[in-house]
Amino acid sequence: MPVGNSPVIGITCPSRPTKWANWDLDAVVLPTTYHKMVMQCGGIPLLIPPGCSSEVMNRIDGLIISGGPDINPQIYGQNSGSYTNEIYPAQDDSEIELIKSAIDKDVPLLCICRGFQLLCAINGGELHQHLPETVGYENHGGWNGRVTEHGVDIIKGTKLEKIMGTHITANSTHHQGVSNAGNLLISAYSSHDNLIEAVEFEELRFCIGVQWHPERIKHTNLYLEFIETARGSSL
Amino acid sequence: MRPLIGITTSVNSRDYETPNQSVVILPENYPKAIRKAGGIPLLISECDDVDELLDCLDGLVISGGRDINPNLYSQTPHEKTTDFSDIQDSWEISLIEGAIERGLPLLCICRGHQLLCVIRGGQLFQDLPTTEGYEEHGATGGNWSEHIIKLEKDSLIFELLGSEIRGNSGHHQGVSDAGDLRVVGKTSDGLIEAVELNDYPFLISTQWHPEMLGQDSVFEGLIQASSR
Repeated sequence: MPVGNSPVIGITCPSRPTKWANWDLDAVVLPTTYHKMVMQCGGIPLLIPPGCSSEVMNRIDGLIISGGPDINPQIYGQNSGSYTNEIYPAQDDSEIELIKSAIDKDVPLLCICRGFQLLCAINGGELHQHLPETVGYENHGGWNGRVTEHGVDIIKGTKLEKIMGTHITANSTHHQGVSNAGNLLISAYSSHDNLIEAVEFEELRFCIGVQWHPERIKHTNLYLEFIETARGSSL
Repeated sequence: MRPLIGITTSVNSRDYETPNQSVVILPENYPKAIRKAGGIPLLISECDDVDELLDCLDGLVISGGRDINPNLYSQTPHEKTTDFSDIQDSWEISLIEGAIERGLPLLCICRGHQLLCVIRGGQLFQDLPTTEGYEEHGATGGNWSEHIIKLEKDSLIFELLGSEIRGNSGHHQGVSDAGDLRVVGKTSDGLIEAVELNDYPFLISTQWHPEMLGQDSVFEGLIQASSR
């Protein structure tokens, strides 16, 4: 590969009050799994802290909206339920601006977990605010740090199916879920309770949102396809 | 277009989303200071190919963090030097050396300042509270100390901050020898608090934390140099 040809991938991160070593400050925090997966798949990862304007889109070839805290329910026209008690409006605002810019410019976009939920919410969708108390989804999976696994059925003919096939095993560690995907194409449901697990915009080069965390369970093919598409935009 | 400034992060293990996860952490006041000064702050983390990374950046900040492996300055670890990472050390050494080779504007803070000095042939005191003459220098009982730092005329840091500032101190190690760097700031106890590299386009290196003290001119200087 020629030098300078690797696509630059921006990854959003949360900032929150954090204690570590002898520090106790607002800090930007992100699991290393995201940037390690990006590097493994041939991209150059740059982490985007909250407050960044869409100007950064001029400097990256692909964008990942990472997992993290719940989004503000006002974004999808609801009041906060009793389990939605930790929201970060500054992060919401900058990620919304970045997602809109990526869609507008057709920059490859991969939205994970929180990012998937935000992608749906700003495109006319809605969320279940707490799956363990939502009829039909009480046993969807782990949350609050607990991780479980379940099957995911992928719809034939979607871009996701071309990348991953028709059935995969996904990890699950979330307490909110997408109830309505708005004007996005639904590309996958969980096998055991039919929760919306993935969406895409077909007309864009790469715009995929997934509820699970592919970077934690070696779903390398999804990241590879994302980064290869981004490489096209870097030429 | 506003310049893109890379800021190094530290990898730590902690309970985050799932138990005992490896995460990158950086105090938010770094990106906030860069943004306020007119730059685009992006965080960078340990990688193999620093050349490709440096190609993306207009300026670089080596942030504060854990201790450096004392082997790098030919010492064995003091009993208080317990938290260091060889991976982080070698990654940041490559970054600093690569940046200097390119003439990239560079700001080194706290750990970054110490690492720069070590790379340039310097030495550290491994534990100031038990080093004669420096017992009061750092944080005591978790509280950071403050002290006056005198800055040398005809230096970049003097141009940006004037002849005297109040610096903060939460560190337990310090620079005892700055190698081939020019010492441009010291506390009254004689600790080396700021250094520069002669004939370099823009390099600021401070033991204290300008991002915690509202020293905007330091970041404005970095952004201006990175905009060229």
